Amino acid sequence: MLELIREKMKGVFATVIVGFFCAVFALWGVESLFERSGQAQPVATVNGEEITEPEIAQTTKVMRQRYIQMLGGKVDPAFLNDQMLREPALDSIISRKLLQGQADSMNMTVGPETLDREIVQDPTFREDGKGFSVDYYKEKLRSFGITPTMYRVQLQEQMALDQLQQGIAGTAFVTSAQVDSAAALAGQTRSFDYIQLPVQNVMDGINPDEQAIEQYYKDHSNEFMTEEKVSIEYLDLNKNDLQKSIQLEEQDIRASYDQEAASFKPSTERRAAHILIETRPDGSEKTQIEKIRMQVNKDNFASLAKQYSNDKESAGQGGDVGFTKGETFVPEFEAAVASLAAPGDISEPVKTEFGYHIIQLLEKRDTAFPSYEERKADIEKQLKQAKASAIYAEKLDQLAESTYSAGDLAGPASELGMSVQKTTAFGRRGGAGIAGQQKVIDAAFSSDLIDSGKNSQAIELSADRAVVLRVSNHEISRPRELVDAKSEIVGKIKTEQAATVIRDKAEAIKKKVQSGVALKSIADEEKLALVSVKAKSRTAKDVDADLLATSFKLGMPANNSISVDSVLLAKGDYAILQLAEVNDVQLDKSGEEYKALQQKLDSSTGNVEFSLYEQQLRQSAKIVLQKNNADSAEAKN
Amino acid sequence: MADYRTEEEQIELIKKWWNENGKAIVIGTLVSLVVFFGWTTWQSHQRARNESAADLYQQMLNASQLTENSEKVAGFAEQLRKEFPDTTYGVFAALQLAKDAVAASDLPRAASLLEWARAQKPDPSLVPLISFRLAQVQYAQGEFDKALASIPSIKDGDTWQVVFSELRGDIYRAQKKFGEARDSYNAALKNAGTSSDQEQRANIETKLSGLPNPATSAPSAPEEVK
Repeated sequence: MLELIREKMKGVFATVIVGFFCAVFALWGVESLFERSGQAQPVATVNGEEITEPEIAQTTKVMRQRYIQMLGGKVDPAFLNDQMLREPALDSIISRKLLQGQADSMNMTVGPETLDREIVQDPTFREDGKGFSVDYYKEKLRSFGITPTMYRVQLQEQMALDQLQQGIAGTAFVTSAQVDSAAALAGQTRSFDYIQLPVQNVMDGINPDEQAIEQYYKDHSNEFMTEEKVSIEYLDLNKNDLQKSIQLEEQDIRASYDQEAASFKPSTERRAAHILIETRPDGSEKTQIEKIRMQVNKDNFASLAKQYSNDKESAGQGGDVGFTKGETFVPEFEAAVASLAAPGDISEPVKTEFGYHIIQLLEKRDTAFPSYEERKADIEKQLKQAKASAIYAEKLDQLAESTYSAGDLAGPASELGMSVQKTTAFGRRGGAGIAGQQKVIDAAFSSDLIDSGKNSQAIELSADRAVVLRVSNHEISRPRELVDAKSEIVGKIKTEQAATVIRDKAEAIKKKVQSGVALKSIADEEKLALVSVKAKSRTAKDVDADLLATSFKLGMPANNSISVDSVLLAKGDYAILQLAEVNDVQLDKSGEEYKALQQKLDSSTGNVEFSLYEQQLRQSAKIVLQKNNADSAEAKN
Repeated sequence: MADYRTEEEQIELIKKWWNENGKAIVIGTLVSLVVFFGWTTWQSHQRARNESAADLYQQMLNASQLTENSEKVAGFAEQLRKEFPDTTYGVFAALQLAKDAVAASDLPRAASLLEWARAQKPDPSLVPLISFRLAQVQYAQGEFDKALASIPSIKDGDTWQVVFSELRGDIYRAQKKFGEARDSYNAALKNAGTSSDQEQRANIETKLSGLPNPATSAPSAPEEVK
């Protein structure tokens, strides 16, 4: 074959063919000859742009981090699993692609010079106190796991997106006409009259007979049941109890004290104050500090520190930086502190990475080991705790083991030297003492304990306490006797019937008012008070919230029409409310309230317009989701 | 094929073919080369132009981040508008200037800037937005009919329908055409659907309840208000 090609190569045709391939490779590269094979199927395409699985994984990761940061420990990590975040992640990628595509088609771009400028100005790429350096930039990007080329592409895309968003959201406005009318509505007050129909009156008039009660009892038999309850017995292993029973020998405490004393290293603590003159660009810090050194003495140190020190935090304290054992500050500083012999002594200027310091020794103290009497109580407590922990761990094992196979608790109790304790009967909402613990309630109502009569596992209520329990008595839920439930049933019948009666009555009154009967005359007829409420704003607190809300839902009375409605109030009463007057209140244009409203409208309108713009893109875009995402596809379009 | 012709015959054949077609090929190649290079030059020219516009725009955005910088922002924006009127950046610059004019209560200038932006035939996606803002300004100027005419008519279900209808309602209310205002607000509510922002719904409902009852004495009239 090769032989043949070489032979034919001499021919002119061959030259033409080879030339053709050369041109193709040179212009488009080898890739153009091959289909991209072996690549993962895209999850979705947006106007032909593919979204791949790794992209979703990356976005999901970023979203999770953001949520955790935002919500702190308040969020259950299980809630933030990949499945939960998949759809929002995909959605956010889709909108990003849409907006990017749009920015692209509107020829929005970021030139290389602008990118350079942006990178150089980004504080992220500046070492502390220094300017931009290429090495630091590359190192920083490496720590993020991306190459400079990738970063430039990302930054360019992000900046083009920001430009688009700024161009739309950042240029939105509301006019003074809009603010005025919103302000007028926000400040509006309303006056209304109402009568209140008390539900109690209606209920008093309802007296269900025996037959009705019995019927209700039959129809609602599952509502009149006794509560399911259990009584438990339990063994309670408690570290605090164990600790109380531990007796210590004097010699053990003494031995522990001697050990502590042997390993104690005495040290000297020094309290220092300083005056700092920071390094300056013109290098004048040295002459400045020398000038201060000339002036300073034992007595004026604090006031000079206050006046000159660049360490603002300590300057207020007269330069006092507290005690050091020799490891708190930079080595040059510590060396200077250590070289000062007596409190009050002042050092010559000392150079550190921060600048020049003058240091004064304020106080010097040697740490001594406390006496046996001082330490005894603490050591005793520590030893007891350690012993109790060991016994606790051992007993917990024994407890778990011996109760596992036993048919009761009495046997294991005598084995472990514990006593069996009991609770009174409690329901699923729990009871007093140990029965108030959710873990205990869950175990006590588990079928293992109730049906099979087993001992529970050792339930650790805290790090210091564990219990094993068994159910000693189980009362199942059973129908209550009619006699027991009677008063409750009567109450329910009255409430139910009264609710219908009063609603119908309120509707009837409302119709009457609409047809032109004055609310006042109805009030008189019903012997009810007509209450007038004057000029209440939307946010008024001194009116029933349901009444106020209804008064603001009604249209303004005009053209001989009547604005009336019936309202169910919190206690079951009904009110019939007639709107009397609406007053627009003009807010003072220079007032705080007006300004706050204007700011709120200004910022919200930008967000609204940008989100509408994005939705508009979505409507006209071609978004294809793969089969396994098909159920979410409907939500998208 | 080499079996029945000698090399000389082949060369002879090619020469003959070349004499017949050579001229056409040379001219064809030249033309396509000219077109190709012309096109790439045009492309890179366009790109360079867009990049300078983008750079100017970015400087305008950076300037607008700082307060007390409105003169600088206006300078960049005017330059963009003059030198790059046919780019998206020129249009965005006009929108920025219009916003600033509204803030300075110079409504006629805001209106003319928005009209200018619309006249540049920007990307179609920007037209509803620009028209909406123009209507906002005309409404504030008291030119209610002009404002109503500026709001593009679009079909139900379109994303802009809610804000368009709401603005129409506001304008009708200002004209004291309460019936039309009511219809517009109701159309806005209908388009707002249930999924939309609760606050937006509440705002429109507030505006509805601020309208006088319609001039009917039908008993069910207040029901419609809800």
